[in-house]
Formats: sequence, C-alpha cells, structure tokens
Amino acid sequence: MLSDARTRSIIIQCALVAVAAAFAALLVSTTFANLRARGIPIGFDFLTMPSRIVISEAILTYKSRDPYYWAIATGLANTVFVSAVVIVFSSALGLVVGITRLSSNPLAAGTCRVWVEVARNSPPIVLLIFLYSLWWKVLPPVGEALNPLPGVYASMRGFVVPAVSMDVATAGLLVIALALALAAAGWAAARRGWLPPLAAPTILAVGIAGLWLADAKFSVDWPTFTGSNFKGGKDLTPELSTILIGLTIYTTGFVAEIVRGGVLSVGRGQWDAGHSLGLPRGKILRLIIIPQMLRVIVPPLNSQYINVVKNSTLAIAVGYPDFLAVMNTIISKSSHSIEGVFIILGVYLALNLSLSSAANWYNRRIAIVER
Amino acid sequence: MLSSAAKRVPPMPDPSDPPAIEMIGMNKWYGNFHVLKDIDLTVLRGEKLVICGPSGSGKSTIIRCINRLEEHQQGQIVVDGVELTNDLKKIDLIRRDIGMVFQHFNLFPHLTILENLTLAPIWVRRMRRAQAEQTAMHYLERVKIPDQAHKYPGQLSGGQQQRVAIARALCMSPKIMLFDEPTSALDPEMVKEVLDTMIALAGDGMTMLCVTHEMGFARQIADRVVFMDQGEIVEMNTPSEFFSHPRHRRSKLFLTQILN
Amino acid sequence: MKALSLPLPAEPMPGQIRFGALRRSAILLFGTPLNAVLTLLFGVLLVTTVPPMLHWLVIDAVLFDPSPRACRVATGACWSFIYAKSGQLLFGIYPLDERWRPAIVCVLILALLAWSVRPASWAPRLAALWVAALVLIFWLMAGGFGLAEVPTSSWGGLPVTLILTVVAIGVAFPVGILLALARRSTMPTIRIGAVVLIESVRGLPLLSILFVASIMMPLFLPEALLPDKFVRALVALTIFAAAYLAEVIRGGLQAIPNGQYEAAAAVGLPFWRTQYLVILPQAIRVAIPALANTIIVMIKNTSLVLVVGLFDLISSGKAALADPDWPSPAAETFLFIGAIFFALSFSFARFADFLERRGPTAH
Repeated sequence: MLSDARTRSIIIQCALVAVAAAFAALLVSTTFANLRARGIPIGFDFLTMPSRIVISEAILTYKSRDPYYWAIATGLANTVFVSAVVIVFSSALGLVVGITRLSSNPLAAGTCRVWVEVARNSPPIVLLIFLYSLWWKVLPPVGEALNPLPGVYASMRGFVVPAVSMDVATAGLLVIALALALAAAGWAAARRGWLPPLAAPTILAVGIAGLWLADAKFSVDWPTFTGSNFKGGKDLTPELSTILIGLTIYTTGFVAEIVRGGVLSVGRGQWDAGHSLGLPRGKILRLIIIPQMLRVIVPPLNSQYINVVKNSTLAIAVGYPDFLAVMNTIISKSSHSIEGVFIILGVYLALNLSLSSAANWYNRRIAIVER
Repeated sequence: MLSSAAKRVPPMPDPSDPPAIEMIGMNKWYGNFHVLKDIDLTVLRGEKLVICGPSGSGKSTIIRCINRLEEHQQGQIVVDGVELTNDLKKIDLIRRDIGMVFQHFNLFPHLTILENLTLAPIWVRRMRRAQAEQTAMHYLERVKIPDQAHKYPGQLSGGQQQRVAIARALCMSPKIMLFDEPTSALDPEMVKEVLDTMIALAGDGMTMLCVTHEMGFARQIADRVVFMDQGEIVEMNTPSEFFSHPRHRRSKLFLTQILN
Repeated sequence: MKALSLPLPAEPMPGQIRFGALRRSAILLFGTPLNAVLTLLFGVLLVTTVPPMLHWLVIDAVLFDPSPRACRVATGACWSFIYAKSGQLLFGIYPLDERWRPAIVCVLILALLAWSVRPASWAPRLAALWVAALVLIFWLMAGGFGLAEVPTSSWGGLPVTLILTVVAIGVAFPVGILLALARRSTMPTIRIGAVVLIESVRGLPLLSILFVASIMMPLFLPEALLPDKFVRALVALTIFAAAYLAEVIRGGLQAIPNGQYEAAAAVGLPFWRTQYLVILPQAIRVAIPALANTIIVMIKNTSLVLVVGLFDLISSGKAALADPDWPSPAAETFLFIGAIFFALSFSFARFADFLERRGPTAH
C-alpha cells in the first residue's frame, strides 16, 4: 500500500502537517507557560495606553504622553519617510551614475565605477557609522555654517533646508495634477505626433498656474541665519541626514548597476533595425530601446526598493528612531513582546508586499504598452 | 540504401509466452484534450513495431505511457506481465527493464560518457563499479565509439551522442527498447550511423518500439507499422502492405506527404 | 549602446601620429563636446575633493609615531591608533596571549572559502573537510585539550564575523536545497509551506529577524535549554541565509531541462537518487555565481549582529575607541573596518565574475 504514489503523497503531507502543528502547539504552549510564570499579560489593549517613551525626532507630531499606537505610527512614518526619500534620490542618481559608467570618458566612467564598487562591497551599517563619525570632523560649527545652495545650510547640527508648507486642499490638487500628468505621459508613450509629448507638461503647467491664480495657501519658509541659530526652514538632524545620505550612496551603487545592465541588455541589433527602418535616433530610443530596457530593469529595481525599506532599519546604528527602533523600545518598556513581534512582522511584510504588487502592476502595464 | 547483411529472419513468436506489452482500452487526457483514444495494442516478444503519424497524433505519448513518463487515465497497460498502476515499486521495476532513447538524447552533461553509462547499473542494479565499466565499454564498442569514453557529452557530435544514449539504455540489459524520434534532432549526415546501430540491435532480437519517420528503416526492420492520427490507431499492418496498399484515406494522405 | 559616446575620428590627422597615447587620451577626454563637459565636471570634482582627502589620509596623517600625543596635534588621520590597536580591532577582547589562535582561524576560514567555490573541488569529501575544519576551529577558539579555555563571551572581531558567516551558510545550504525542492514539489501542502517560509523571511529585514530571535527564543524555550547570544544570532542568520539560498538554488533547478528528469526516470533512478546524482550537481553548477553573491551578502550582513550585542568587528572598533589615552579617531577606525569588509567581498566578487565568464564546465 505504501508504495502507491497517491497514498504515499497523502501520508507524507499529513505527516508534515501533523509535525508542523505539533511544533507550533509546543511553541505556543511553552510561550504561554513562560509568560504566565513571569506574570506577563497578553493582548493588544496596551496600544491605547500612554506610552511614555521618548522618540527623539519624528515626521509626525508626537509627545511622550501619546498612546502606544501613535508611537508606532510615528516610527512607521519615519521609516516610510526615510525609504521614500532614499528611493527617489537613489533612482535619479543611479540613472546618472549607471549611464555615466558606460561613457567613453575614462575620468567620468572611472569615478562612477569607484562609487559603484564601494557601495556594492561595503556593509551599509559600516558606511553609516563611518559617515556619522565624519559629521563633526568635516562640518563647521553652527556659527560658520556652509551654504552650498541658496536656502540650504550645513553645520555640525545637521542640515537646514527650506520648508514647503501648503494646506490640505492645495496638496490634494497638486497630487491630482501630478497623477493626471503621469497618466498623460503613459498615454503619450504609445502615440505619435507633436501633441502627445506636450500633454504631460501642459497639464502640469495648467495645474500649477491654476493653483497660483486660485491664491492657494502655498508658501516656502526660507531659513534665515540669526548669528547663533537658524530661524524657519526645516531641520534635518545629523542622524537623519546620515541615514538619508548613507543609504542614498549605498542604494545608488546598486541602481546604477541595474541601469547599466538594462542599457547593455538591448543589443546593437535593435539600433541597427531602427536605423534601417529610417527612424530618427530619438524615436528609436523612445519606441524601441526604452520599452525593452524597462522590462529588464523593473523587476531588480523593485527588489532594490524593497531592500531600501529593509536597510532603513539600520537607522538604529546611528540612533535615528525608525519603526524597528521604536518597536524595540516599546517591547522592552511594555514587555508585550509577542504582540510587538507580530506587529513588526506584519508591518514589514505589508510594506514589502505592497511595494512588490505595485511593481507587478507596473510590469503588466509596460508589457501591454509593448504590444 | 541499407546493407542487406542487416536483413534477418523474423523470430517466430511463441504464442504461449505472455506478450511484452499489452494495452487494453487505454485512454489519456491532457485536461480536456483527449490525447489517446481507446488504444488496444499487443506487442509480442522480439517484435519490432514502428509507430508513425502526423505531429500531434499521440505517437510519442503512447510510448511514454509504457514506462510511465506519462500517466494514462483509463484502461490497462501490462508490461511483461506487470500492470502499470500508481504503485511506485512496480514502476521502478518496469523502468529497469525498459530502455528509452529520446529525440534530444538527454545525456547527463555533467558526467563523462563512461559515467553516463555506469550511473544506473551502479545505483539501480547495484553492480560493482569495475563490472559496470566493463559492461559499459562492451556496449560502447557495440555502438563503435569506445575511444570517447572519457569525454563529456558536449564534446561529441549529435550522432555520437545518440549512439551513447542507446548504449546507456542497453547497459541496463533491458527487455524492451523504446525510441522516441531518435533521428529527428540530428543533422542529415548523422542519421545513418544511428539507424545502423538500431538495425544491428534489431538483428539481436530485441523487442523494439520506434516512433520515427524513417520509412526506409521501417520497411527494413519492422514487423508491423502502426499508423496513428488524432489519438487513434488508424491502421496497423506489415510494412509491405502498409506502404504499397494503405487502406485508409488518412494513411494515404500521410504517406504521400512524407514520401515527397 | 554606449549612451554617451560618439564614434572616435577614425583617421588620425597627418603629423599628429607620433603623439600616440597622449593623443588617444586627449580624444577620449575632449573628443566630443559631451566628453569635454564631462571631463571638466569630473575634473573639478576630483580636484576639489582628492587633494584634501590625500592630505588627511597620507600627507598630514600620523603613520608610525606610536604616541597618542602625535595624533592630538596632527591635522590628518591617526593611523598609528589602528596599528597600536590592531590586535583589539581584529580579535576583540580575546585574551592577549592567545591571539595567535583566532589569527589561525581567520586564515583557515578564508583559505577554505576560496577553495570551496571552485567547481573542481565539489565532491562529498569537501563536506567532510569542512566538518573537520569546523571542529578544529571550535577547538582553537574555545580551547580545552591542552589549550587555555576561552568562553564565547570573550570571542570577538574578525573571527566572529567569519565563523558566523561560514557556519550560517554551511547549515543553511542543505536546508536551502530542501526548501528549493519543496517549493517545486507536486504536493500542495509542502509547496505552500515552503513558499510561505521563504517569502516571509525574504520579506523581512535581517535586523528584525535578529531581534525576534533574541526576544522570542527566551519565551519559546525553557530556561535550561536557552542557547547563548552567539547561538541565537547564528540561528537567525541561518534561517535568513536558508531562504535566500533556496531561491538561488531554485533558479539553478529551473535551468535544468525536463529531459534530464525523464532520462533519469527512464533508467530507473528513484526521486532522491535523481536529485542527488543528476539534477543537483547541474543546478548548483549553474547557480555558482549567484551563490558567490549570496555569500558576499552574508559576509556584509553578519556585521549586523552587533545590534544584538555580539562582539563583531564593529563592536571591537567601538570598544577600542573608548580608550581615553587616544583622541578617539572614529573615522579612521571605521574606514579600516570598512576596508576589511571591502577586501573580503570585492575579492569574492571578482572570483564570482571569473567563474561566470568561464561559464559552466564540461558542457
């Protein structure tokens, strides 16, 4: 009987499920016994109690008498903020560095190669700690703050940048205009003529002009130097700046390699075929090369973006309170470790799964555009 | 075209022996697609069968069912007196006694020719290495490439690889040999060396089932030709009858297409 | 396509040929308007950044002067600190007189790693060699049998990083193979179990897995069975490595054509024999470049164990910096540690490139 293929398959699967269930039951029962022995309660009620933990800096407004769930949200917002900024900057820089690596100019290609190799071969945590240790060595005290760009100051106390503030309605309208412009760009990608390429910029320009005419509450708060301190603007602490700069340097190296691989993946034959059809260079690039490149680039780029979210946990090395650091504090403070662990696992899985499903959606889109 | 020395006297099958292969009312589906319809086929010991037909007619599937690379859903397949069921032990037993040669050779690229030949005798038949190597060299001489024993499959020509594949199957001393379009993936100039090997094998009285389009080969060695179309056995006859007087419209059409 | 390059002028102008190399580099740097702009841009960048870096790194640096005072005065890097503290940086708080032991361990592990990635040395005896080496390593590190005993709490620095990497990968490798096979299984519960396990580990930051391991294990297990910090971190790293290796090996398995399975079935090989003799040797060979990359990722990841309180390279660096006699040259120390990691993973990456270029053997 045991040698019958189907019976055997069923027996093996049942055995596996039984072993897994027994293992889980053993873990759960020992855990509960351990918790009971130490007098630790279980449940998510603690989330609404005042946390009394200190979060040194936050994107959201947070006070230590706020409840636990708000502390968690604050940490999560910090993680999302860091990840988003790093993703945007490293994508832009990675594009430039990746293409420059293919240049025939040895000075440019060589410098970019050094960047890529350093980023790919050093542990990000060492990079962050190193950058953090440089902070006080390289940057001047507040009184002699550097002013590399108008409105941007750098000193031992971190960066000060102009703050953009707008009311909710304005922000909403801006997001809608951006979304329309993006949709127009997608629509234009598969069409010819002089109108489509102009569609996206036009929508954006009309949107911004409309906002300005409607006298939207949109203002830029420029920092001013008062001799001993800065007034206005937005402070970026050394910790936050280190995380942003370090992870951007690190991720750029990987994005650059992906971009380079994407460019190289489209063979010379495609350019030759385009030329032989009499297409101009720009059209070949837009209609033939880039669609094929995107297909190669998007999947690995997406896993890099997921890596950014994972690497943002390294914030802990320089003391920036990201989600994991906040959760760690909460667990040690409230001793709700089981619940805390479930929140940690759930949040990271949700973040990364939503990122990859967004990428899958985009992947399907470019596949359709291709046809 | 082929040497007349390879012509042989067909063995007289003993009717009291159990047949080598017996299929009774066999049916197979891929999902909703009915690949094999009510197949009844008996192959006697020492018999040589050539199966032909247009692509997609189910001719490869039928021989892949015999060593259960494919599973049939209805009816019976009895190989050497053992019925094929889900019983893994029986499947293993049957596979030991059936050799198979594939269209794309399917040699193991990470092993030398000699290791390809000795792998199954050592691990399935539990033969000692020295003895397995001796057997392997014997069959490599039979297929006329003993000097290639220590090369890797990638270093051989297609025709040589297919002869190695035949030798690999023979090393298990099978009772039945299955050939799944053994010459279809070969360059034209290599077809003859493989066919000659198969003709020599036929001369030894091996039970053989060949899916092939080589009609000259079929005429020379086959005891019967089976013509299949759309999952059915349309016609089954001796080669001389089949080639000179095909009975069915579909067989006639097929023959005019393949002979031109 | 070379995005930013236009073809060079094919014919050199008469009279300029003798400038050879100079002319070639001039064309590369200024041959087209775009290249000229790039040269200018990167030239300015390098001229403004390289000289100050050189001053700090070499010219104004304290290289050999062993007294901390020299470092306080100098404006450049304090390399004498690295030199003076090298033992502590590399081996942490391991007893002074016994430091030759972790030194041998490091050399042994690195040599074995380089040896093992060569496809030529893939054989069952390699596993035996590793087991023997690990026993030797453990004896050297922990002592006993004639050597002074050293508890794991005093282990530190580079050997900790290397041991964690090697043991985690070594244990994770067979687990990864099983997971990869499970993920391709025809049995639904096995397949789903493998997918859930692999994808959830890959969806989590290693740091969170390390935290969970150090928080949860004391709750899961009775006090008496609770392993020390070192083993807990090792378990977390192993689970992490197994999930990633499983995917790498699955990639290799997917490259094996169906005909190989059919040929193995046709000669009568049963499932596990088929995997062991026919499929896995080919799949792993295909996956070697990806495997080498995973090893690099693991070497880099191991640096995270400092967060759960293990004494790896970074923690040794921090401990060394706490010496009040010295002016705490943090940048130099972390540059040195970064350089060690860089050397390890860069050489491994070049090795992987070499294997990839050479292609699969004997095909």
